[in-house]
This record gives sequence, C-alpha cells and structure tokens, in this order.
Amino acid sequence: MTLVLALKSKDGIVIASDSKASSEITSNDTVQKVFQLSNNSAVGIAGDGGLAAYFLDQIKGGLDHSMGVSHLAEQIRVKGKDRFNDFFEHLSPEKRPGLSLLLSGYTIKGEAEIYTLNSKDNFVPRKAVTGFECIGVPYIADYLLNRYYDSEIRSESGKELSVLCLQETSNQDLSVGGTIRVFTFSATEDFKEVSMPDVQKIKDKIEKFQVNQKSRFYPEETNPEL
Amino acid sequence: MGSTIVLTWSKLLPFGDEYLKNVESSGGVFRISRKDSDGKFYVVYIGGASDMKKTLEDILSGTNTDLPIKPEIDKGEHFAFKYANIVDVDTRKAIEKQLYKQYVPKYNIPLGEPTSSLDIKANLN
Repeated sequence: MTLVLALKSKDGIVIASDSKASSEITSNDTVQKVFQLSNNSAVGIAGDGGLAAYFLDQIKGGLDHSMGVSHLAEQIRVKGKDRFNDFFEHLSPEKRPGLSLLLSGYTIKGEAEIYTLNSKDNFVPRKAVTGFECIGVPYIADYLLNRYYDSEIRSESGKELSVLCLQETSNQDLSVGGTIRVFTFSATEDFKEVSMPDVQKIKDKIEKFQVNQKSRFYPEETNPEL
Repeated sequence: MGSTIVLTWSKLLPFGDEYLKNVESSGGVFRISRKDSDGKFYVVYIGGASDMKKTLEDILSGTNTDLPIKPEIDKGEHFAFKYANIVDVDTRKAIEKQLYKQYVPKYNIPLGEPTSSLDIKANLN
C-alpha cells in the first residue's frame, strides 16, 4: 500500500510519499512514488507500482505543459482512459487493476492546484477544494490534515505536517513505510527533493509533538505510599 | 514470538531522600511521574541503570542536568517513582524500550527511544 499526499502552502506545493511496496509475502522499502513532470508539476502514484511506472512512461512524454496544470489534468484524463482501455480491453472495468494519481502543479496564472485521478472512473480529474489531497491509505493523514492544515501554512511547516502524516500512518498501518520522501516546488522555484538529512531533522522535530505523549492516557494506578 | 518476564515492582513512592535510601545499588528500571492538576501522577521519565540508587539520587539532587526535575521539586511540584530490579543489562534495555513505548514520557522524547534487539516484555505494574 501507499500514502502520497500533496498540500498547497503560501510559498509552494509540498508532495510527499512513503517508499513501501508489499505483496503477500515480500515487501520493499525503496519504491519511488512521486515523479517530476516538469519544473513546476509532479505526480504521485498509488496502486500497481509496475503498471503505474509503465503508464507514466507512456503518457508523460507527450504532455504539453504550456497551458498549466488544469490542462495537464485533462491531457492525463484523455491519455489515461485511452491507454487503460488499450491495456485492459480484455477485462471488464471492475476487474481492471486500480491506479490512482495525485497531480500537482500551477495554472498559467500561477495558482497552485492539486488533482486526483483514478482509473476506476476513467481518470476524471477531481480538484482538491481543501488545499490538500491524499491517495493510497489516506485515513490518518486526512484526519491530521483536516485538523492542522490551514491555507496560511508555509512550505517549511508544510513539510513537517507531511512527514507527521506519513509517520503517524506508518505507525498504524504496516503497509505504509520505508523512506519518507519529500519534494517541493513553486511557480518560481523548480522541483526538488528535500535531502535525507533534512527529512531526518524534520522527523526528530515532530517527535516532540503532543500527539506522541502517550503517558497522558496511562496515569499511575495508585497514589504514592507515604 | 517474544518472551515475557515477571518483574517485582516497588509501590509508587514519593520521590525524595527518605524513600531513595531503601533503593538498592543494583541494576534495574524505574519510572518517575509528576502529579498533575487532576491529582493523578503521569509518567514523565523512564530509565534504567546498573546502580539505580545513584542514578535516582543524581536526578533528585540535580546532578543529572538532562532532567529538570529538581527545579520543579524546588517550585513545589510533587513527583513519585517506581522501580524494579533487573540485573541483566540486555534485559534491562529491552524493558526500558517497552516502558518508553508504553508512556512516551515527556523528558525521554529528546533522548530518543532506547534501543534493544531483544523481544522481551514484562508486566509494568
């Protein structure tokens, strides 16, 4: 399973993911799930990893980035539907493998937008209305983002919130895990990955968040004996 | 599957010289809790030591500067402690880790989770 999330901040977009891929008997913690599409757009994937990687290879080369992310979403919808129908014409829709995409980027007016696209409904783009979106195992991240996200957040804190979501999800769901990877970009700053040492510093910092003070739920059972 | 051990824990005792004098100078694990405004004691620190008596005395006296417990006692805060003897250092580390995961105490967070490769659990009361 997977968790990929993207959020809009005042000074850019943060997109982050775990790195785990698991089957019934094996797992791997080194899987790339976020891909740069251009200097100012990126896509995250959830579902059949090998299929997703090939699918992206098939569609990303011919994408026109000049019209902004909303046009990208429409292109991915058309190409995605076409390729999936080609790949799986032998299967009825409900039997086809599932693939979720999390697309983020900027419109030609410089506004950040995030879309989810899913193979189950022909990749119809759904624009995020809350400022964030998650694909994969979203439940814990959705709760934390609904709780802590605000459109005033800056990307430094957006990175911390993203890592918190990934940490808390992997604490509860063993299918999410491995290396946490965090990427940022904006209308004026190119796509780049946060270094592993900086991700570790973020992880060390969020250890101090209140949600970790479990002792509050386990008071001593007696009072001290005098 | 891991193994379990049975520890004999002391009663919850006020954290002060009068009660530390009964602690043995041997290996073990302990936890220190602070009284909150609701009257209950919440664990704020867990630890293990080869000489529990000295370690606890250092915390109480303020010699251990990593823990701000003495300044809080001086301000009138109430603390209590509980301990269990464990001589084997590897077992001790495993139970420290278990205590950390159970309570994630405030003063342990900056120090990080204790490491242990043993899969051993103990009763915590």
